[in-house]
Amino acid sequence: MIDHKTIKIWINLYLDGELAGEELEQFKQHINKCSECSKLLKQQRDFVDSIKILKDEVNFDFSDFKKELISQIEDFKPQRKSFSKLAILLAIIAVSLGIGIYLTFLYSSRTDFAEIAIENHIRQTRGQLPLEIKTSSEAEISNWFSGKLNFNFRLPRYPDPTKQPYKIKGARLVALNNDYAALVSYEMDNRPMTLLVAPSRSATPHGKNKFTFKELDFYLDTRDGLNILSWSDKGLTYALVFDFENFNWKKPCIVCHSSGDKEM
Amino acid sequence: MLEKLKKEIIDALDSLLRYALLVTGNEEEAKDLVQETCYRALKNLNSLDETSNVKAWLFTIMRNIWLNQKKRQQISPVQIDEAIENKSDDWNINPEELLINNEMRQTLLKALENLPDVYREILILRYFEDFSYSEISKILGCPLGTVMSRLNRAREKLKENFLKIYEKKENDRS
Repeated sequence: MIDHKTIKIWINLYLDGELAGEELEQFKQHINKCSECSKLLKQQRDFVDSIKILKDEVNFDFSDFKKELISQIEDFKPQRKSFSKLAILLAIIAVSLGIGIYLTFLYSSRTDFAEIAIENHIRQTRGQLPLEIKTSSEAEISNWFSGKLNFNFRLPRYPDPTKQPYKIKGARLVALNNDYAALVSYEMDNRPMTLLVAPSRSATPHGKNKFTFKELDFYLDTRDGLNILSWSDKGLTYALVFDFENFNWKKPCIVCHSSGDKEM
Repeated sequence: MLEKLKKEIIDALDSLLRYALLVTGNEEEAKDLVQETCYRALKNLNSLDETSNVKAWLFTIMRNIWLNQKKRQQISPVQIDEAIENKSDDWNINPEELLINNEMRQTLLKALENLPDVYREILILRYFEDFSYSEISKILGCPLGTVMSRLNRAREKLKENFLKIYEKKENDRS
């Protein structure tokens, strides 16, 4: 036997269409027999119907707004978000990759050039890279390199040979980035000094300290007790490696970058 | 699918506008709310499958937007008693009388508008929009039992509000 309390709860479920199966049957049977619950059902139905009537009381005139909104809805075209996002993502990746490759190349060429210059210097001083031409003549070295390099390189003469502070010992080819570079061996103040020369397209000057002289940027770095002075000029990059301190810049640099009054 | 959705959104516009107007109490806010709802629905078409109840989905979107706008804590601080038991059975006004008596309808509407948001919205969803308990449960994000108890409480509160206003008017007259 179902009590009135349960029926009161079921009245709302019944009116809301949420009562089903056996419960619905029991409810109907009870309502048919019980006048009190039947009266409650009528009252509640009246009340619910009264609420439903209110729907039409909520007056609003949004016709212009609706017209505009319907037009917007009808005109709506889905953005190909995933495609455009993918395209943007791919573009970003491609650009990043390009920059990465460029920077890697740039960085590695700088690093390699400095490292190769040091390595060549060490190997040369140890006798592991014997000179292919032994001469103190700039002209002979320039001639020897002629036709062997993919770039034009001529060793300049010191302005006043009698005051030349260094001594040229000779030169040879060395490998750099699947190509050849020029290695010139010097001696200054009885200490070995080498000059590595390569095209700027495959070698970039690099060093912790940068200074500008005669509109050229010079980079100075120190590694493994060796000083590396590098710079670029007229399409070629140079790396001078030496191990002595108190380096007198004007002595070797005057060869190319100064004439008498143009001193570092 | 897009064209079908567009049609269903357009068909639901009146319901959305009515609900928006009743929850916001402001025409401009209601318009903004409905416009944003439609835009989000169209934009998130992919999250809808063929069997979804689009109207219920639209109401869910709109309610979420509204709650976010109002910040949930401002809308639901109302302490509600979810007790299922009916406290008042007295409703001696029949719908016919209500249909004839405009003042009475306005009084009931005022009683509805004065209800706390949680009660007002559940009555609108059930009796204006005819959503099932299960659909209301999804729209409100609450268990089915809560829908039942809250609806009971909302109905009782509405009766209580109405009778208060109605009796006061009657007393003022006499």
